[in-house]
Amino acid sequence: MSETPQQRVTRPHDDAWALAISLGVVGLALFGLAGAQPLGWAARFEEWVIPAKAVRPVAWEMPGWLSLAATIAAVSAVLTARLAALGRPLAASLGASLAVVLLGLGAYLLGHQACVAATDDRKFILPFRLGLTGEAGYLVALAAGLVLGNLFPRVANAIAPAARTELFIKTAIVLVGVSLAAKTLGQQAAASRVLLRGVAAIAEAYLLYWGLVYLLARTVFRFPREWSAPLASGISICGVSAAMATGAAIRARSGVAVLVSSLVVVFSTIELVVLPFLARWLLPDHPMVAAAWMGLAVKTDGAAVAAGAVTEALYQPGPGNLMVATTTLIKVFIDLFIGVWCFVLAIAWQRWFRTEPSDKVRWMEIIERMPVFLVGYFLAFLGLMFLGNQWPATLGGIKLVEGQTEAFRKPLFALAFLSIGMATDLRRLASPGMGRLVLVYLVSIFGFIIWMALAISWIFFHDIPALPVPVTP
Amino acid sequence: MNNDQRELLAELDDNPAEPLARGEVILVGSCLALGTALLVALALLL
Repeated sequence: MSETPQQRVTRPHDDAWALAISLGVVGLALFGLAGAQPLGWAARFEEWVIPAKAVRPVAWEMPGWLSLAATIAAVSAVLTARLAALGRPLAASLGASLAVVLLGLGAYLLGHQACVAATDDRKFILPFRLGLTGEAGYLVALAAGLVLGNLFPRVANAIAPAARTELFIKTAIVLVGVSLAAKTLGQQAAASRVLLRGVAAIAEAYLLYWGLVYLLARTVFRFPREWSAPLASGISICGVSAAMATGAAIRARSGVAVLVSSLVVVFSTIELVVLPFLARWLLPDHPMVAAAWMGLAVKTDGAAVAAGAVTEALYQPGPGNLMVATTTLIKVFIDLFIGVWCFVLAIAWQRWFRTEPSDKVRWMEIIERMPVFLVGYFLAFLGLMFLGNQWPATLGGIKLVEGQTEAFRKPLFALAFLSIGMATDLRRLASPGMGRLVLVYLVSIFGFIIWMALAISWIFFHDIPALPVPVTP
Repeated sequence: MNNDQRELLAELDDNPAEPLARGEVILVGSCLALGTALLVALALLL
């Protein structure tokens, strides 16, 4: 399938929009440094028995329902603006955006119902208690997306333009940068340890996974090079963005990367549902190994960071823990690594496998696929770290900044879960001709990738506590 | 799935892949060697 101009521009657009939206949120939240909270109206979701008590504003004095309505309106308005900027009709854009936001936040709210979420017996009198924390809302959103995408495809197609996993998760990742800075300020040892171990873990994981999957695809499953490289990148660690960028780097036909990507989405959803629970069962006392494992094993930014959030909910290590930050950090470094790796592949293909003079690598195409939203992540993280270190008096203000950004990060995760579910077309697995692709994926993922990821996570994270321990001089 | 994608998959089934080329052996060999070396070195260092 040749990529339409619309498809070609959508991904960079998502990155640019994610960067703009997240920096806008962080910019407004930064007034917290002066004690003001312009985003204090945003909704904070709480465990509930009486629906009226399910939401309260972050800081402002106002009714919970008004805060929820304001949050729905604000997020819908931004999504509508994005679609309108892409040339879609305003009314349809507003309808689709509102539907996605209502579904996503509705599911998230449902997951906060006390019978599902409550972890404390003393807080409510309940007939039963699952104790999954409010993050169960993510799984409710995922289930809603799966039902919608697979049983009501027409409805899903109608609202799909507003359900952008990449947009939601990349915006949320920048906000995780704020959260990581706020949690590790004053504890540079913990921050640099997690950073260093994260880089160390992905450096060799990527090389080992890629080499093994490529070899498996070429020798055992007899795939041609054009398929094996995007498969290796997509399956091994980085998911959709890696498969697409690799496809561009080796000049594969765009349909190859699209087919590989569709498979990645389906399997990342399966991983997202299975791996957090497997981690909790296999590693009851090692939350940071579990968090790193999600980053190293689950494909695509959305599913990986989402899996990190579910894993954190299963461990409940307490406020201020570094679990989601660790999963995100690993994914962020992997995103950076995709760029380097695609340049290596482009040079290798140009040197060894170019068959026609017109087969030249289009460097601009690779550069366009670089994750620009990471600029926002590093700006937020390093900027706040610098502020807090230079002027320790700003620490209280930085907590206010984090409080406001967190109010958007969690609902964005919920929207990402809904979108992941909607995009997961389970019928793809049964499509004619997909058998060999599904098989190579299954063998790679469950045969060695998740186990190697577990071993590497254990090596680098088994001695790091989930809650940073202040270092006394 | 559209027709182009079906054709790509059909082509995949019909055409046997060529054997590994020298460049691929170098690429995959370097990945595995460097990955293993890094894993051992970093695990010992950190």
